[in-house]
Amino acid sequence: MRAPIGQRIRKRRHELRQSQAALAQAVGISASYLNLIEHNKRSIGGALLHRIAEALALDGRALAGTEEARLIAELGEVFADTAMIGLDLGQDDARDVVATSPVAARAILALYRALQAARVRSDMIGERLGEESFLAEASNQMLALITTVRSYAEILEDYGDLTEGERNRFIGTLVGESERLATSAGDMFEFLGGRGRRRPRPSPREEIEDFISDRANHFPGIEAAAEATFAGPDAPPSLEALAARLADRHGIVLHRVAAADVRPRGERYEPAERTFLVSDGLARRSIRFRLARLLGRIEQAELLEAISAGGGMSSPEAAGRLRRALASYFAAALLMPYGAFARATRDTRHDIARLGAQFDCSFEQVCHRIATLRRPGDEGIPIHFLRTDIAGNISKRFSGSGLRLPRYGNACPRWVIHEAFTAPGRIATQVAALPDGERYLFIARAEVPVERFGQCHAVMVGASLREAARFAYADGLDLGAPAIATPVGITCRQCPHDACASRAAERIDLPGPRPATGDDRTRAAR
Amino acid sequence: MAQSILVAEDERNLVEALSFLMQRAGYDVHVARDGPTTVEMARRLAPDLVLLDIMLPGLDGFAVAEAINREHGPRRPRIVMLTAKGHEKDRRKAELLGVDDYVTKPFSNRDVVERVRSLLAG
Repeated sequence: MRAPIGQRIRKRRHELRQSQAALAQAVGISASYLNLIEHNKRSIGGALLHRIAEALALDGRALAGTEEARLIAELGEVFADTAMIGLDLGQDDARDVVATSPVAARAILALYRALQAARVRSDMIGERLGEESFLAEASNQMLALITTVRSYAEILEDYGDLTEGERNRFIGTLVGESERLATSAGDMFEFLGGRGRRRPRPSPREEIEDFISDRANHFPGIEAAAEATFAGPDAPPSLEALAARLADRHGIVLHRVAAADVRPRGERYEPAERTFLVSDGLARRSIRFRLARLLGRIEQAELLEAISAGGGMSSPEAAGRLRRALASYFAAALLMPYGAFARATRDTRHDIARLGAQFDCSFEQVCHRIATLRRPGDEGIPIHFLRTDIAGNISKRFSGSGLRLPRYGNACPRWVIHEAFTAPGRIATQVAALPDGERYLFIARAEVPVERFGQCHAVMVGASLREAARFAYADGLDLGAPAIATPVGITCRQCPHDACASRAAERIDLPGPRPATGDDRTRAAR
Repeated sequence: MAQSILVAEDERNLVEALSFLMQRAGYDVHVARDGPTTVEMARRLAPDLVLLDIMLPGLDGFAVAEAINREHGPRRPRIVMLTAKGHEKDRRKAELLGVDDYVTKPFSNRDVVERVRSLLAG
């Protein structure tokens, strides 16, 4: 972008009360040429720029606008920020501001940097408040109080032979603990209410993740519907069987079309034409999954609608995305039927590649599915699931194993999910040691896109290292050796490993929020 | 001689309630209010059973259970863990450590007494 050098020349010339003709003569050009320069219609440099700068008693660099060009570029970035939505500011405005008052431009940039820093900080606080100490601490406190109150009440009821002293002491404790409980509950609701008001509305993705996470990523209704769809609960349908069912029962015909026609999703359902278009760049197993998902959308529309309506999504967009996520859940349940899949998961000890071959599903689909095995009585291991693109942006997250996954910002650079991109298609494993002492087994794999401009992404699943024996990927690892574990964090902002060579952002120390209880006994940090 | 129970819990009032219940059920009661003391007292007193809270200062209940397992081997005291309701992860951990039973807070006195009795009778 050209710096507004003309405006600066004219402004300075006016300050010096010089005419255009006089300045032109002084630097040896015509007045009309200077006029073109002053209106940014001619770009100048070199000797002429130097002569004009000298005639105007200015520094050549200042006149050339190297710094201004940077200011304009930075300001343009600020104007594109979501905070400026509705103001309709663009590059021209950035140029005008810089030309009129570089100081004001610098002031705006300083404010913006402060805003960015505040955003990072508030994200971190939100992350901590949302998932960590305050609520955990406060709810433990309340639970302890409730337990005590209940216990004393029962003692008073059950033991008729208490001495007067005992009875009075127990009643005194009961009253005291009830009061503390009331205060504690009040504090907690105040905190929750305040948080609700202050916290910005979560994005649709966050809303859906919260919804799924609240239900432990398991939907018995959809499991039952999937089992009832094809005869024999353990017989997953083939691509042909799915296409035939869509055609016979619903009159929907599958067409394979050029990838460009169905970007970016690789598919498009046209209800009016009763056609389902899929990209010809897709693998068979991917088409099969998409057919199963469409079948879910059509045959289980009411069920999915009911579940999604119960989720109280805040926007139609979020509700739509949730229905799609639930339809994908249905597809997974159809192609990897619960009973057979849970059995195979145990038999192969979570050998994701073998499960993929056995059920003809992709690595990601299998990873997704093993995180849903939460049927009471036939439960799998608590699993976490994470998907990122090659820049580390998180696109899917589910934490079932207790590992805290970042809600804002990128995951720790040491997590094997990033390293997986160095060898796409290969399964990479890692024993990760968190700062709190918990250890996890991580299993990751990166996928490269089949088509140009397709997305590179990696998927990671994992579980507590205590479950290692139930993972084929842990075979051969000397789990007792301390050196086998990679010290990792969750995000750089919260990570205590100050000397880490992979640190990508400064640590932010937040004051630890503590519930106001008036209790002097403190619990050990966990 | 009466069988003995070590109550490992740091909430003072809860300790008093549990001690009362266990005494009334006919057991000798000892109390430890933090993790390291629990390990030490288990070593010294060799109680028949430890009522073990997870959230202990100094060393949490899991670490205490591990230490007791390690030190006492097959002749270790029975362990009943006090876990928080809904913390499935904690329960799994407790199971993996081989604790004999667990009670979820907020528990009922009768339930705790019953579980302790059945473990010590067997």
